[in-house]
Formats: sequence, structure tokens, C-alpha cells
Amino acid sequence: MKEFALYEPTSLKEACALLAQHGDQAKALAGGTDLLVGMKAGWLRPEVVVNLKKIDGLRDISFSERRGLSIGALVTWTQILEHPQVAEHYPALHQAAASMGSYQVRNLGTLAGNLCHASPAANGPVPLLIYEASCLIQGPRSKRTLDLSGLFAGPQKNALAPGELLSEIFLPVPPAGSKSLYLKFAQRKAMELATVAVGSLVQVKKDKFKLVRLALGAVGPVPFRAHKAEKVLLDQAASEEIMRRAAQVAMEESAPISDLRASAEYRRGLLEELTYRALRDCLA
Amino acid sequence: MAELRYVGKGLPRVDALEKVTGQAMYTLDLTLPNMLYGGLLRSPLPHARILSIDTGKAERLLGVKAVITGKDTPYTFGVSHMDQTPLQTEKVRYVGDAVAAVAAVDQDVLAEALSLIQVEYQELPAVFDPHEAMQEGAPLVHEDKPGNIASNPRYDIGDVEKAFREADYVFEDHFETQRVAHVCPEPHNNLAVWDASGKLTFYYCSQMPSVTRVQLSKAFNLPESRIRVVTNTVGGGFGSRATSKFPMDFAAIVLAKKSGRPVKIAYNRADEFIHSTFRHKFIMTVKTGINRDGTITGRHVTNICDNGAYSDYGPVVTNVGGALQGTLYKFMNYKYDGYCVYTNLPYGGAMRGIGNPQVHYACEAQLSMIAERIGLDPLELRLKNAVETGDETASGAILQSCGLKECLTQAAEKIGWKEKKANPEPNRGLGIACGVHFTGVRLSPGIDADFAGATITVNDDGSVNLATSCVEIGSGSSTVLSQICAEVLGIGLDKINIICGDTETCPMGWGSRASRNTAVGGMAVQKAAEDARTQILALASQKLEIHPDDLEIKEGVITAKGAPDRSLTVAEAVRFGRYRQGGTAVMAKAHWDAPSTLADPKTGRGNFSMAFSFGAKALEVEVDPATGRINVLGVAASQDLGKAVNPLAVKGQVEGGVHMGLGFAMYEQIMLDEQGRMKNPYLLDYRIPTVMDMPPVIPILVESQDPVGPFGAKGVGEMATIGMPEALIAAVAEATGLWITDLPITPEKVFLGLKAKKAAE
Amino acid sequence: MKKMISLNINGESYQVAVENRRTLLEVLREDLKLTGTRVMCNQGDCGSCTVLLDGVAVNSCLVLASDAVGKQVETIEGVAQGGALHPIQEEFIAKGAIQCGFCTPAMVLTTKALLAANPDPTEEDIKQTVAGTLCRCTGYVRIIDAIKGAAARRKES
Repeated sequence: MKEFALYEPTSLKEACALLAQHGDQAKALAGGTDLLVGMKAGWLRPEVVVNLKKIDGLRDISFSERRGLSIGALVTWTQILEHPQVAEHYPALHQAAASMGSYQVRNLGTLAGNLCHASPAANGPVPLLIYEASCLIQGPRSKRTLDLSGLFAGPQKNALAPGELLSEIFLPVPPAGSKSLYLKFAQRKAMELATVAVGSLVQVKKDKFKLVRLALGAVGPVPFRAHKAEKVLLDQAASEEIMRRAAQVAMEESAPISDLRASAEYRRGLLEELTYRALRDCLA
Repeated sequence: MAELRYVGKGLPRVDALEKVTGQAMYTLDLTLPNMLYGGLLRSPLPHARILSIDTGKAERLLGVKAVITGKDTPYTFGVSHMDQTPLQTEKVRYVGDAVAAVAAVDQDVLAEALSLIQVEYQELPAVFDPHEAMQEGAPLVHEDKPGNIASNPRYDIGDVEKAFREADYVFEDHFETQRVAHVCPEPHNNLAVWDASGKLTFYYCSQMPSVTRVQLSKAFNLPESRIRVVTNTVGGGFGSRATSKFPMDFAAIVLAKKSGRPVKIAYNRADEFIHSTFRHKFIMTVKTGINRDGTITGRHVTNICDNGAYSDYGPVVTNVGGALQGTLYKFMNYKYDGYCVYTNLPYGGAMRGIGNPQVHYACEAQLSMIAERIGLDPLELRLKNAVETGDETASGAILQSCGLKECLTQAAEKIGWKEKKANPEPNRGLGIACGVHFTGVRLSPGIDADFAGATITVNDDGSVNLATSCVEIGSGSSTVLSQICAEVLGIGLDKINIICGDTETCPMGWGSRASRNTAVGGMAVQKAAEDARTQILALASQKLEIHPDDLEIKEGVITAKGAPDRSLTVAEAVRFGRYRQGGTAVMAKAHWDAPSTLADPKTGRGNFSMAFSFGAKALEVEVDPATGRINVLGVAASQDLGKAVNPLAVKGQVEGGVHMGLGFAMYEQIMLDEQGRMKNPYLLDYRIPTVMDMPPVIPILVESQDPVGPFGAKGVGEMATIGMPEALIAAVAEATGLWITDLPITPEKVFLGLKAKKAAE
Repeated sequence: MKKMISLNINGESYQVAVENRRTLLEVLREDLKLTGTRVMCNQGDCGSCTVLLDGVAVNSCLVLASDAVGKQVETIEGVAQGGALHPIQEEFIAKGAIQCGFCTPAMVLTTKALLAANPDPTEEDIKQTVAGTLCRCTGYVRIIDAIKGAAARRKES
């Protein structure tokens, strides 16, 4: 690993100022499970590392019935996994946390870092997309709120401007009576990135789909909501046929590539089946 | 036989304490004062002439202490062919071929120095496919090897053509296996140091340090007495350390000489995948004649082994792949045509089973296909043809112990074969396969030897120093050999100090390979211990005035049989011998050469191992047809090991064999790009099964009591990993109707296969 | 440019001069010669470099040494106390869970962290925990046995 200048700011403002000052040369360090891997392999060669771990107030995860779930930038996957209200209200996030990396990596890695790393196959984005999460983005002079879907600019590329940091993630309370889940397919049952991942959130009233959210991972340059497939279902009576049709539309919305984990053809097939199952299992 | 006190007991490992506390020192942990870090510069091209190498800038870099090129390493080496030089001077033959090496004060300087070496290449046409490599006009990887053929081992026994003519059916099928890596937890590394007198000490994680010493002696023209090879605790071997020397080793030694300082070279994980060898890719055709009643009449196997750029164990692997297929079933017509073919790709080596797992996969997979085609139960078909004790097989093996049928029936019973076959469930399938492997081997023409050595010194206090030629690579050999020593001598296990892995103190032997430690190594220990026991009893006899035949030793105490009041401790006997005029010491040795024979050069027939181990794997899968997901629900793994010297250790080895076999069957693959660069040199995308992927395993030990091995024992390590892909392919076929004949059997292949099948319907 | 940091490892204080890029793994193995912490991949994919940071199991190859300042670092060298093995270590020996031994320190430390947080783990809990540490020799069967044994002994005492 190349040597770098290390800054350990104690406030977000200071951190943003450092990041702004060093621009492309700088990287923010949270859990380190992506950043240090990339730096060791030489894919990333920052001159400056801004370590966020000395900043107070970023390790909190809290839930309120009114505001939903709030997750600080340094909250680890283990914290998420062990938080009782995550399992209760955000099962898809809980499932994503449970299948994230390894025990040791979950103890180090953060959700915020996972999102900012912007891998199309990452565990974080898909569940958060179905919960319509938003991010608090801290800049050197101001802060802004960003819908999560706006965070991903391309494979391993986030939409933050130089000097900006994702400081907090908000997940609203899921609609009453909705069900949600996360399905990840990978070759091994642990220590994996997704070959294909699907998140679903469904609210059914009088046997009709009143609300459907579908998010797809590892089948395009960024994780995304399958809006066309969602529309297929909206206000329709729940049936296997309609769910199969929606799954097919989701497949058509996707743009998977062939890489060393799977061919595009297999990914399309998996996606169709997983989407159907994600819907079906929400109804169960 | 008297009741055994140590052999047959699941005793804790003798090296457990140092390992569980972290005290164990692997070679990777060793550093020396003033030590330098060495590294190799490797070719970015698969096949190119070297026009020039300019090391000037690297040499001038502050902190660089030595730079060497092929001019400094004029050594030819190899395992089966002398086709390698450590650093290339004329041309490079694969992406990764070494051309220069540097020793520097730290890793940063080393990396910079390597980047400063300028090599000018002229690219040559390259060949990446063994079929193409065999064609006339193909680029030659080695100019003196026409057709790129490294070797062409053949077996031709009986009359296969006649057997096919007379058979009710003849089937021919094709199979391919992939390259898989050993993934030794401790990457390959070394540490070379020359002392002021010109003596070389080479710290090296080797499976056969005494062979390393011989090779280094020849290369450097140094007397063996001026070379010490030391193997510390070894973090896994699985055959990769049986190569006994690599370019990195010559580089470290020459750099140390040139710099006058100790030099260490250690691979990272990415280097390890490619440069520590791997299991060769085989492309196989199996043709089998069989009668309606299931009697196999003959078999012909053709195998093309993608050797890569250098031979290493390739020719041996290609040979062994053929050697054992005439030893599993009773048919006496057997033909094998092996082609070990050079390509401009990284080269393979010896890996647990040394070619045998690949050919077993093809032959056993085909047998299950045949069972389906002719409507016979795969288990019954195997039992009908299985070899038995007393058989002289087609290959020429004389089976003095054979538990093959017990292995098959017990594995089938434990997996619930009969009940599940009678009540098939949708998307589920059962598979069974069996196999045979040798216990030590005599297959190399020109080397009519398969031996191990042991020395025993009994100390004044009755404790024992036992030095063995076997190396503890994790398999438990030090524990098992100590148990054998304790049993024969009648001395407590806690009194035995086993010494291994140091050529200065250990006898010469062929180290830890070919499943030979317990049996070949064990016989050397047994013979040495018998000698020591005779010496102890002779002394006790003088002292007690009782005939040695009437004495016995238990827990270090020598007593007269039937007269326990007349006794002497071993310590007293040893001191009685030593401290007197014209005294003596209890020192014993054995060099044991396994009773086996070289093969007939014409037919390939021969009784090439002291004993043959058998085994079977039966497993059940559930397949999710919509995703292709394969869940292995359980594996019953039986092993005929003659006698379990340490059942606890051996069950662990059988379970580990299932794990490695499962990786080979389902998960693992070295993926190369079109130039031969590895695309997945990380453990994230080179998938060895995690604990979550391991099915429940039922280890079954079949004790056939071999008449030759120590206490009846035969080898275990390699047979333990044979059988998984061949059982899996059959189980997946039963669950899905698909025969996936190219490994690994992945969800993607199942999914796409089912999709294609559906489209065809 | 190196800076001095102070680390608390197995209850003892160490002063080390490190560059910013130095990982905890490198400091343990190279500076302090605490080589019981093993390195197999150095990429966070194998778990063999696991240590406990304030009791939490982490890959020491993914932690900057400076991030361990102010925390209690526990390595395998600190598990046996006063010459007596920890019950987890005894179980690993008794159950035959050790072969080449390279993953053993990580397995022992991970077990220690697991049992501290979850004294009565199910087999699934154990597997989820062990999944981050690769073993090439044992097939994990006897490692699971050993962890179950250690949990049972912890409950008894």
C-alpha cells in the first residue's frame, strides 16, 4: 500500500474541508473494508486519507415510530444486524446485513461506506432503495438531502461532489401493513458479493397490490428501482401470473453484464426468478 | 495381537499446543537479522524472445543489494523433465515466467527496483490450447519438444478392441476438468542464508526437504553436507510443496550469495495461485465396453493434460491419471493414452491425488451414465465389478487388502441409498462413486525406490528422540508416527520427541507425498523402534538375567512376563548400558523401502505400490431448477485405510478431503484470460467452500488390515479427496436429467442446461 | 514519516513507530513479532489475521494500526493465561479441530468473541461466525464440534 497523509478530523465540517481541499487526491475512511482492500491492490492510490472515526455522533443508530430509522456514517453492519427494530421494521435491511461479507467484516464495515463504494453488487443499496431511504450529505459549506437513488453514478462511482460526505442515512417508517424482503443469490452461502439481488416491498389491500417497490442489484451499472415492473402490478389482483409478468418486465428493465461471476444470460434468468419469489414471498 | 495402547486411539496431536497458542513458527514467520526481501520480475507476455534486460537503474537504486538475471542462475531443473531454468535468458514461455530478481532492504524498494528493470521482448506466436499445440506447425513452447508433447504415457493391457467387439454395449463420453489451486493457507516462501564458511541454510516450507537438498546440491555443485534445508511448521501442502524447488528458491539463494545477507522471498495470495502450481486441466475421452448384466469388459481412456509452459509434475500427473483405472474393477482389458502437452500457460504440478482425481471423475461419471442407459443400479453395477483382496488387477496391482465393497455398501447405507432410490423425490438425486489410490508409489522410470527413514535415540531418562524423513504438513503424521513408536517401544507418547523437517538431523526420505507417511514412514519408524526395543531388552536381559523373549515393556517399564516383581525401567536399562567400561547406547535406525515394483515399460503393468487404499463417496443433492442452486444435503465418505492409527486425525482428514473435493466439484476454478493471466486471483472469487457450504459429512473408516503396512495401515490423504465430483454429477443428473461433464458443476450450468433442454422440447 | 503510537496488546503497552499506511496486522507480525496472528490473503477474504479489538473480532489486515490506539488488542498470544490454556483451546485440541494450524488462532479468537456475546449459540450462529475464516484442511466439522464443546463448558462453569 502506498503511503498517504492521514488526517483525523474531529468534526464533520473539518472533514469536509479536508476533502474539499484535496479533491480527487483524497479518500474518506470509515470501516476500511472496501477502501483498504482497493488501496492494497493498487486500484486506489489516494494521497490523502481522511479518517472519520474520530468524529463524534456518527456511530448512532436510532429508531422512532414517527421519523423512522436513522443510521450514522460509522454505524457498522453488526450494529444494524443486532438492532431489534431493524429486524422488526426493515427485514430486507436485516437480511442484507446478515449476508454481508463475514462476521469480522460486519464488525468493521459500515453501511454508509458500502453505499458510497457504489458497487452494483453491494448489499446496502437494494434494501435501502425499497425503503426509499435518503441521505444527509454534508458539504464544506452546507448540507443537503439526497434520495438514495441519486447517490449512484456508475459502477464504483458515487455522486458526491469533492468535499462532500454522506453523514447520515434515513429510512422512513415503511407503509403500514407492507411486507418487505431481500433476496441475494451467490455461489457460496457466505463471503460473497451478489450474483443478483432483489429487494421487494409490497402492500396489498383487498387482494390488490396497493404499493409495490422493487429494487435490483448486480444487473446494471448501478442498483436501481424497477419502476416498470412495479407499474405492472399496481392495482392489480395478486396472482402468480401477474407476478411472473412483472418479473419478466423487471428482467427487461435490467442490463446485466457477463463477468467472472456469471453470464448476462444467467443473470437475466436469475433475476426473473428472484423477482417473482421476492413478490411471492411478500404475499406469504 | 496384544491389546494396543497407542495405535488405534484418537489421541490429541503432538503439535496441537504450539498451534493452538500461536507459538508454532511457520517459515513465513521467520526473519533473520540483516535480512533482505527478495522478489521476481515476471514476463507480461505469454511467449516472447528476450532481446535485452537492463538492470542498471534498479542496481543504482538506494537500498537495492543485489540484482540477478538468468546469467546468474545457469541451472537446469525440473521434476520429471529438466526443462526449467530459474530466470529466463532466451525466451519467456508464459505470462509470469521469471526473468530477473532483486533483493532489497524493504518491500517498497523491492517493488520500485523491479519496476525499473527494463526488458525488451520480441513477441512470438503463442499457443493456448493443447489440441492446437499438438497440431503440426503449432508454435513450439520448447524447441526440442516436437508437437509440444512433454510425455505420452500409455498402458496397454489385455485386448481392449476385442473386449469392445465382444461387449453388448460400448459407450464413449467426453469429460473436462478445470484448473484448481491448492490454496495452502501459508503461501510459498523461503529464507536463504549463507554462512562465512560457504554453507547454505535454506529455510523452506517443503514437503520433501531431503529431496530439496539433493536438488540444490546438484544445481549449486555443493556437497550435500554443506547444505541444510529446514522445514518449520507447514501451513498446508496438498502436493504444491512436493515440487521441492521453484524459481523463487534459486533466486533467494543466489541473491543471498550475491548480497552476502539473508534473503527471504514470500508470495502474496495472487502469486500463490499461479506460481505455486495447481491441479492440471484434463480433457478426457472414456470408452467402455459392458455387458447387459453389468460386467465391464474393457476400457480405453484418452487424456490430454494441459501441462502449461513447464513440466514440473505434469508427466507424472498424466501417468498416474492412467495408472489406477486398471485397479478399481475386475476387467482385464485396459488401455490408456495420455498426452502431456505444453502450452504457453502457467504450469500445473502435483495436487492431492496427482492426476488420479481427474481421471476418476471421468471414468466414474461415465459409469453412472452407463448405469442409467442400461437400466442398472449404479451401486450394484460397481459392486458387481469391484476388485477384491487377492486380485491381481489389470494394472498389475496385487491387492493384499481391499475393502472396496465394504466402502461402497457402507457409504450407500449411511446415505440411505435403498430407501431413497425406492422413494424418489422431485428435484432430489443420489450419487455414488468409488476410487482407489496408492500408498507410496514406484512409477518413475529410473528410480526403483520408495523409501522412508527413521532414527531413534533413547535418552538417559528413558525418553526418546525420534527423527523421521516425513514432514508434518498438517495431516497428523508426527502424531501417528509417534503413536507407532510408542506402541512398539512400550514408552509413553509424552516421552517421545519427534523431529522432522531438518536435513541436518533427519534421515533421507521422500518426504510427505503420495499418501505415504503413515505406511511407508510408519514402517521405517516401526523397524527402527523394533531395533531400539531389541537393544533395550538385550540390556535389560543382562541386568535381570532373563531371556529377552520373556521380557516386555509397558509405559517405560520392563518386566518379566508373568513375574512383575522383576522389573527395570527403560531409563535404568539405558543407563546400565551407557555408564560402564565398554558401554553402549540405544540408537536405532531404519531405512525402509516399500515392497513394490516398477511397471513393465511396454505394457505399463506393475505392482507399483506397497498397498492400495479404497474409498467411496455417496451423496444426496437437492436442486432448485429455477435458479440452478445445488444443495448438497449430506455426504457419506468411506475410506479403506487398512487400520486407523489415529481415528480422530483420520476422520478429520476424510472430512477435509470431502471439503476439497466439494470445492473441485462445485466452486473452485482458476480462470485465465486469453493470454493466460488469472482473472480471479483473490479468495473472494476463487471460492473455497466456507463452513456454510459444507454439507453434513459421515466419515466411515473401513479397516481391511493390510499385511504390509504398520499395524495394518495404508494411506489416506489423497483417496480422501477422490470421488466428490463424480458422485455429484450423478446426483445432479438424477435430480435434473442433466449430465454436466465439464467441471465445476455450477448453478449457472444447471440453469442454462435446463433452459436449453426446455427449449429443445 | 513515521509517528509514534502506543498500543495495548494483550494487556501490555507497546510504543511503535509507524507510517500512516501501516496495518495492525503488519505491526503485530513485523514490528512486534507476534506472529501467532497469521496472514493468508491480506485482503479480508480469509479471516486468518483475526484479532479482538475491545473484544470484537476484526480482520487485522483491514485496520490501520493507528485505529487500534486506545483500544484493547487481543491476539492469540494473549488467550492462554499464566501458562494455562483457555477452555476453547483445550476443546480445539480434544476434538481434533487442528490440522495445519494456520487458521487455528483466528478460529479460537472468533470463538472467544462469539461466546462472550452469545453464550448459548446455535449451530447456525456458530457457522455464521466461523464463515469468515477459511480452513483448507478440516472441512470445519471438528471445528464446529470444538466450539460447541467450548460453549457447553462455559455454561457449566
